[in-house]
Amino acid sequence: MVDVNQHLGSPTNPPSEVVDEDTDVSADASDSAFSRFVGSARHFAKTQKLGMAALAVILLLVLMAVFAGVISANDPALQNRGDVKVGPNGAYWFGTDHLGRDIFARIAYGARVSLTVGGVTVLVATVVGTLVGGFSGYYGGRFDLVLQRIVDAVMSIPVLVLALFIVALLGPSIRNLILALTIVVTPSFVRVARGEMLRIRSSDYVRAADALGASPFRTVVRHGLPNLFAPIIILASLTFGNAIVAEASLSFIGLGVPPPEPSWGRMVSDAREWIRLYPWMLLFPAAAISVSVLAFNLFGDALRDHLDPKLVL
Amino acid sequence: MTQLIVKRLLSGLLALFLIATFLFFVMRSVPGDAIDIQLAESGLSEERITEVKDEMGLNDPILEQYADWASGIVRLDFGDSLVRDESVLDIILRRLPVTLELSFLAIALSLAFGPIVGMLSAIRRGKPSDAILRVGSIVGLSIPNFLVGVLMITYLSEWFGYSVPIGYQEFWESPWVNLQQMILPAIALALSVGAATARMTRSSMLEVLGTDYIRTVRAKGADERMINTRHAFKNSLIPVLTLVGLQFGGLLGGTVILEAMFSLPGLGSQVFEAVRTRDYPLIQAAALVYGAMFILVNIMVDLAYGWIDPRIRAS
Repeated sequence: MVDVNQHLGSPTNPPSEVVDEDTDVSADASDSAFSRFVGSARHFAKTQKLGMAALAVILLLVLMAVFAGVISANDPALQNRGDVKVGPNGAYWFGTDHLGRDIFARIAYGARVSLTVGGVTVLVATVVGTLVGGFSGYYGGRFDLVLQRIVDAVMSIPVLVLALFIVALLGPSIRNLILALTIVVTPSFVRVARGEMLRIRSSDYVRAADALGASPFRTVVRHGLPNLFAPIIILASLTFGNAIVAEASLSFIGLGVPPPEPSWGRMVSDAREWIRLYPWMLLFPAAAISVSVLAFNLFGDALRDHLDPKLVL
Repeated sequence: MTQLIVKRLLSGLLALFLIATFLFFVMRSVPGDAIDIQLAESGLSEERITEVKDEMGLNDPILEQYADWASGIVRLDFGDSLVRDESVLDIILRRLPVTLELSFLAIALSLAFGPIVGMLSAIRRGKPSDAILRVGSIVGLSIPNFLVGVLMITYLSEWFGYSVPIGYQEFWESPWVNLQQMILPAIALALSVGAATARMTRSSMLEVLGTDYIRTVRAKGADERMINTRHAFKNSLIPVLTLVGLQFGGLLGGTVILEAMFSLPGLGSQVFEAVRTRDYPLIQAAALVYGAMFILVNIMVDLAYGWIDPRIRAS
């Protein structure tokens, strides 16, 4: 929390990381991509304390999702009729809900659902969006023009409305939810990748690659894409948070993850009737959603400060 | 300036045309039998289903269907609702004013506090108050608006015994009741937009504060308050406006859930209902209307640039 003050993102105070990175790299005495990555990561750990805390939360979430079965003693869908609406205690860390289900188990398994939806969505959108945007920016011309107009058009429909439309057409399921969210978020990756590619297309090394007879595919993939890394990874982190919000929102209104699969959004919706007497039913899923979204936002922010302070997303 | 407006309107129309095309093909890319199954599930009678399929022209060649849909839009004819005995256009026209009021109230609220918070944060850069404001705005950005809605409804009645008046009243019927019904969902929506605006204002203002002309003003001896408000703040607003335009889409999406939660009879709660009853023509037309609103707001944003920055007006 102390390090919020260290504002690296301000253009008035150019970040010193360029210099530091160089010294780190020379200290490693090898200029491989790996050692550069290690140097950059070390610098990130040193300067972005809040980002590191966020990363720790994200890793914790991932562990919770992977080991949901190990860390929670109870089945998330099991209705313990004898233990309905029990407050947090030794047996049920987060208490139980109106059907006697273990809230801790549901949070842990819910993390699995949230991270799966967010992860697959972001992964597919990143791969598809970067490739399509990269080639669009590289080739330019009519193809690029048409594609960008389509991207503009899709981006003008509110995310939630479009996702609702698609889920309504296909029916609620995790697969359809991922499909809907992917369609909705890919355009922003296309736009960012295309913009970056457009910027570096006229740079010397891309022109050199072209002049040496590299195929367009090789130029884009080998020389273009590595340069898209910074903006895309930042966008991916921020999008991950948005995907979790979208999943929670859709599940909240009953159009996301269908029961009996536990979902944070649905847990909030279930809790609404009971909040007054049993606040823990709302508290834990609400905290799970907010904390994980906050972690992805903070991490994305720290990445931006670290990699590309001028980037506007 | 006129040229700019015309150009923006034309590209807006093109975008609308593409949205319509996109929605059409998304709709039709669902295998025909999926629509059959869903129509059967909807509990309509056998004849009504054939009628509906005929109305939707599902047996025509796809290009013909597309031409029908496109020419319908030009005539503002979106077909009839599958569920209600009403044309889609009538439903939308009846519901839209509520959504417009809610979203513009939310925008107004977020503009009322976002830029000021961002400016204070930038002026106090590096001080504890800046840290608090920055963390506060990223937290505000991270709490989903449906959660804010749930919390407000619960704890306002729990702690203050306040509950929103039941039974929607239009503004001219009873402004006081109407505002009470609108203000809570508007705050829930404004929170994330306002937080995003605050963040953008802060970084944009820090950039402006580092420019040569601010140094000149300072060297001239202008007092700090004058520098901050007159010179720096005003000049940092352009990226903020752009952001508000882009955030408007997310805000419109949020109205769907919040209108349903607060029982406001707007387009959003109608979409919500239409999704449940699988009233496709209505959802499709509503998505188009939302797209049009988004485009229109962004054209207004472009025009506002000229109002803020005379150089843009001139070019």
